Amino acid sequence: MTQLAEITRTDTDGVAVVGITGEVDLSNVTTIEQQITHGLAADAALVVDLTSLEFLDSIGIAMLDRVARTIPSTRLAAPADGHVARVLGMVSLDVPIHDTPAEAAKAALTHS
Amino acid sequence: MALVVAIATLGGWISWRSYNSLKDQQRANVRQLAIATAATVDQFIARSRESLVTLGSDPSFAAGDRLTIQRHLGDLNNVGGDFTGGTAWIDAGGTLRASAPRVAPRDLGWRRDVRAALDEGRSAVATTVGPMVDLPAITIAIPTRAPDGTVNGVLTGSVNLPTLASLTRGLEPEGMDLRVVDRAGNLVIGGALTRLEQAHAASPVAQMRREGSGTVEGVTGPIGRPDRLLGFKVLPDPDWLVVTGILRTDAFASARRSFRNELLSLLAALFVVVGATVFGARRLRREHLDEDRRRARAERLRDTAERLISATSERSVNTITCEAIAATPTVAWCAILDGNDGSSLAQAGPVPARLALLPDRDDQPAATPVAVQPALRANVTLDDDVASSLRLFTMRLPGGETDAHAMIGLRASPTPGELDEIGAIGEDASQARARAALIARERVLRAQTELIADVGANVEAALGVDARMQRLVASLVPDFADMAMIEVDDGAAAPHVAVDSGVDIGARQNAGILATARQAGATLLRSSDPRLEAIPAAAVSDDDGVRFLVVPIRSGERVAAALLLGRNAESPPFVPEELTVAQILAERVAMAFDQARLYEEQRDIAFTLQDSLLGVPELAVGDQVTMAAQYRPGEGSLEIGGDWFDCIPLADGSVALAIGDVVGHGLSAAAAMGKLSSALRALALNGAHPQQVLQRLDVFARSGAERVMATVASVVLDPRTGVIEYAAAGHPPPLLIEPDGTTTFLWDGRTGPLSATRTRIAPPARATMCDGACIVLFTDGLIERRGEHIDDSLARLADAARRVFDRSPHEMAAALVAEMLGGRRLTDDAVVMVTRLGYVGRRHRQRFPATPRSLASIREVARSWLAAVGPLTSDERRLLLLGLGEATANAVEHAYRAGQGSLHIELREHPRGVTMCVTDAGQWRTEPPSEDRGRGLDIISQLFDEVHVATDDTGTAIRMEYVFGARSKVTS
Repeated sequence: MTQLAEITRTDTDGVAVVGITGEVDLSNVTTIEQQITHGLAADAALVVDLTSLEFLDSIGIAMLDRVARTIPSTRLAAPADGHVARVLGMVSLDVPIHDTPAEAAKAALTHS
Repeated sequence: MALVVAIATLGGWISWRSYNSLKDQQRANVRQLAIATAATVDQFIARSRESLVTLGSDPSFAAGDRLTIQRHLGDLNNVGGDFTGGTAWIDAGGTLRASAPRVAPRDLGWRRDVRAALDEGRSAVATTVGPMVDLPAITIAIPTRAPDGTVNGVLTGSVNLPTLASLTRGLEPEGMDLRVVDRAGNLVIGGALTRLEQAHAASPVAQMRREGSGTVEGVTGPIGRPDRLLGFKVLPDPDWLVVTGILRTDAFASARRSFRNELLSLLAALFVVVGATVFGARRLRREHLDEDRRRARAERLRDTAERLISATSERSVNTITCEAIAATPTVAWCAILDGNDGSSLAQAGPVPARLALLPDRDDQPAATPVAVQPALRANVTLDDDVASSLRLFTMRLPGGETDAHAMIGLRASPTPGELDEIGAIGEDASQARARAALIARERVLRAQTELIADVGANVEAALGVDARMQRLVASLVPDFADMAMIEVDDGAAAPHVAVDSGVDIGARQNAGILATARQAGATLLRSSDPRLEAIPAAAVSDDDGVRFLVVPIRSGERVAAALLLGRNAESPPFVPEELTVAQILAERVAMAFDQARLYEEQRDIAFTLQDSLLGVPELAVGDQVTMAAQYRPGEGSLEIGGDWFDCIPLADGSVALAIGDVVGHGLSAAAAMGKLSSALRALALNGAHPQQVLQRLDVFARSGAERVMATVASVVLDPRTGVIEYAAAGHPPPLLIEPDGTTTFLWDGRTGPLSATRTRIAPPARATMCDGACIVLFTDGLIERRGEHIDDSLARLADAARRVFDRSPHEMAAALVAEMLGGRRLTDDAVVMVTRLGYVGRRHRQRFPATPRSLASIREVARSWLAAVGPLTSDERRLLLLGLGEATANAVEHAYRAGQGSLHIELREHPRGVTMCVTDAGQWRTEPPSEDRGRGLDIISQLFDEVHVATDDTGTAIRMEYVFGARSKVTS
């Protein structure tokens, strides 16, 4: 079975940038969550890059919410005119969203 | 006194003696003269016959060649033959073919001598007048023969009577006159005979004929008239009678006178004495006889009148009349003849075989005997012996159907009393004939009235114009006509034509009789009638003698049809009464046709809707209701019964469904059905709830002249909520099938059938249809099976419905009919109507295991499905996919919790947007929603224009409606 989603991790200047490609749903949300937070301390600077994410539903949003609570510096990267941003805009989520991973990383560093 | 008497007696005796001797002498003379004359005549005839035989031996006669014979006879005549009256040759048919002097051909077959020669092959002699000249003549006829010996004609030679007279003139002795008469009493030679002498002259011949033998010679004469003694000699072959009349000689006269004087003086004395007494007695006796005759006559008349009164047919009247006339004393025979063709209607007595009617005379008063007249040979052909001894008169008998004439042969001149009697019989007969004609006419009319009733009932037993036309023509042949054809113009391009024909007149179809009927009105048509010229030649054909009757059939003011009746030459012609019958029939038929048209219109109205419903596989009502129905008419129930169904979109977006079954079949059931369906439609459109619909329909059904018994089920479905309200009046319960296979019969909200029980309002009844669910309405024809309990029948239906639930309503309805009825013959109509709640349009339905892994598959399926939904942008597609994802994720979570295995998605496209349904077996909101779930619902509610969530004991269904182009909140 092909993976619904793939995770990519890059550490740049102390900021962990985790990119999610593909789809997140109930079937892989737990795995994704573990992969995102894997090896990160609560004070780590985290950017979750949703630029290439195809599908995100409330379960995925809830997962992102949980990640942000675990790692308060979490920033999300999603183009404002993209689908994901629109989905995220539909619900109340206290995680800042930035247009690009670079902007998000800068903000994450500032926070932490 | 005594002396006077004695002397007178003596003188008288002497006179008597001398008178007697004189008389004896004269008798001898007379006898001698008769024998001598007879010998002369006989020789003459024998010579003439020989001469004729010689003449007839010419080969031209054997050849029968008329022209040669004619030339031969003409030549003979020129050289001067023995036959002063001319010669003639008559062919085997009795027609004169050649003659000298020459005359035109004519029929002489009636002549006795000609017949004797032709029929018996013997020679014969007759006295004739003509044919060649007007002088009376003796004609000798001999047969001529063809080479094979058969008689091929008759050669006749006539000798004028003056020629014969010159031969016998020298035979007459002094004081005597020679007379020759033929056997009929006609004078051949000599002066006139008195009537008394005629009678005596004829009597020996008559006696011979009567007894077969008799005296061939002798003396006869009136008693007491010795001067009128007649000697006779009957010739063997021609039956000639030769007579001498004794002339009054002086000697005979004086002897006779003295004898008479003596006798007179004696008698004078006696006369005075006896006269008075005898005269008185005779007169008394005559009066007595007259009285007897009168009484007998009155009795006969009374008998006749009684018999005539009891006679009911013209035929028996004729017979009775004939017998009564023949029973009159002086009447020898009586025959009643048809004035038109001379055929015999009745006969009594020895009626001559060859009898023809006297020419009709306009001045001849009805039932009054014309003056007694001798038979006219020219008009009545009779055997000579009959004609000579009889007198004839005719009497017309008016009244009755035939132009009847009584021809009466008399033995003697009738007395005035007998003429009165015959006249009275004639009058009675005329009345009786009129009465019989009336009875016969009544009989015919009664039979025809029955025919009208029969035909009418027969025609009305069929429904529809064409069926009735066929019945009509079939029932008219052969009772009323040999062929019947009807043409109906109901505005269609080609007129309907139905033909029934016992004969081959049926080939004349499409004869355009309608046009003729319109022109002619009701008309008796003969093939020779000029009006029939209007009918194309095919209608007339070449059957001479076929008679036609064209009867127009009106519808209102218009001649809408025409009936053509034909009778063969062998059948009796149409009479005016039958024209009336045909017209009455036409009126009846016209009514039947109007009725049939009305029936067809009513049926059309009643079925217009159903036809439109049945005509399409599925009917989409709004976006969310799909309906399909199947109708199977019961066999032998005349095409339609009383079942109907209806599907009515209402103003508020609801859909009213109705199904009904009117008790009965045929026209009345169809009409009642039409009314009920219209009323129900009106009530439903007016916004009435099912309970109200049925209650008011019940009132309506009772309101007409005839109560309409019916069962009805009424359902109103609100597609937005899936809520149905329903009610049933005696009707089988609607069946509800849920997407998960649950079946429920809706047994609530019931009352009795319409008109059957007291009006009451059904209790309100509700149910909820989940999206995708079906409601099945049906009539009992679908489930009834002999010997099967209703519960078993319903269970069978529920099973079948569950099995075919996944199909479209159209396929479902068809499958239910097939499953439930199979190939069975239906005694009742059957209707099944399947209505599904759910969008109409492109659709995808699929069941998935309720596991998280299914979610991706669901998305994949939905993604490709959504890609084909034209109006959507790619953004919208992703959002809809998100919404579906939320709903399915919910269901999977529930399934996890409930430990159950599957979820069902349905994606539907409709003109306004997209509907997505997700059904699971779990329950939503039985516990406070988690934050996650709340967020999911939040997303769904933002994404869709309408979201319905239905939860019951069995699970949860969510239906999400997305409307094209109405996306402002999310996409902006």
